[in-house]
Amino acid sequence: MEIEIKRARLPLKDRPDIPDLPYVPQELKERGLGLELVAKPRVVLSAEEAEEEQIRRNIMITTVDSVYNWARRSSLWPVSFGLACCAIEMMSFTDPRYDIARFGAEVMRPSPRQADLMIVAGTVTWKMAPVVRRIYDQMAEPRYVIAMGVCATAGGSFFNSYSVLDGVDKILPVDVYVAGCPPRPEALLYAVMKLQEKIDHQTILRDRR
Amino acid sequence: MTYAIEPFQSRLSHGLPHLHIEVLTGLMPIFLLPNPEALPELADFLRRDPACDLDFLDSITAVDRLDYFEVIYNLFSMRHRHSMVLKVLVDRDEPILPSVVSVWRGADFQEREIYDMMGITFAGHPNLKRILMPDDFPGHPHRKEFALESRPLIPRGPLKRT
Repeated sequence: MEIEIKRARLPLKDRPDIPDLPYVPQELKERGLGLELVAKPRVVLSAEEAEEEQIRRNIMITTVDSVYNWARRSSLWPVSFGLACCAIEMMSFTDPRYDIARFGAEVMRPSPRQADLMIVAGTVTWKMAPVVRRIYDQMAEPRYVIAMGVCATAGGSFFNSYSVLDGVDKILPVDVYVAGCPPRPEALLYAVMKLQEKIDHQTILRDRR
Repeated sequence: MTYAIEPFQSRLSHGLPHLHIEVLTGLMPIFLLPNPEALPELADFLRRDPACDLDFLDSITAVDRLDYFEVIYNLFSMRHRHSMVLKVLVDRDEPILPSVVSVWRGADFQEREIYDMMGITFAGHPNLKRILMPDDFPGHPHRKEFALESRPLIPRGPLKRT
């Protein structure tokens, strides 16, 4: 039984019994990275393996996880952090045409202590960088960061300039990057939806991060 | 917004004859002040004299000509609706200029920006510190010797397709 359980953990390249997925690039197959390309892995487990998997996953926690994540992603309150021109697009995102309140971001909290999402919208200068970090530190966990626009992603049109920080990910961990100068409100909406998908995959257990 | 030599040239030669202010003609007349120490006296005269009445400071800029700095004052009169361009040459090794904040209050932030970007110190300024860069930033970015690519670019090579 130990040999069969260990077989479920082998990478894809050592599992000749699994049929080929619809399309996996050759390099990925060699590195054993093909399993993420489908939503559910088409792996057939034996009875003992399935039981082991269930016990390991702990069904109770899975249900709590899904409810918890639904609550977290459906009410992401951003802290209003518009620095430059991207702030205009963020404002238009909160206006009735591309309503952000439909997706749970009902209010933009002016205080970071009451928010759990920080949309860095605009250019971050060297002078402003410690302030951005301080606002991020004041947010309570779980907190997420969206880097909006090319200036927050990588310095943008002011890359390698004397006064601009090349990307806000040098000072904070970023979850989603949005490209654009400025990105359209629909692009920012897509970023918020991607962030909601990312929140779906988190868990409250410590060891299964 | 008319730039004219008169009435400034006649009023300056009448009121301040000891300052030898040259007039450079070209696209527009530019008044050149050779010695910067006379700047407060000149600024006060330009504001108080009823024929000149230059009470609005449009902007102050600085240019780095490699041997010297040029500080350019753009002045405007609300009553007479005429403008004047005044240039002052500043020594590059010891760039100090008297401040005109007591004459035009709008010079406050402008002179701070010139101090930040060019390193020209304005004597008599109430709060001369950096305005755009962080306070401990080394160097003055708009000088010619400041390397704009102050951090080296890391070459990433061609994109690899996975």
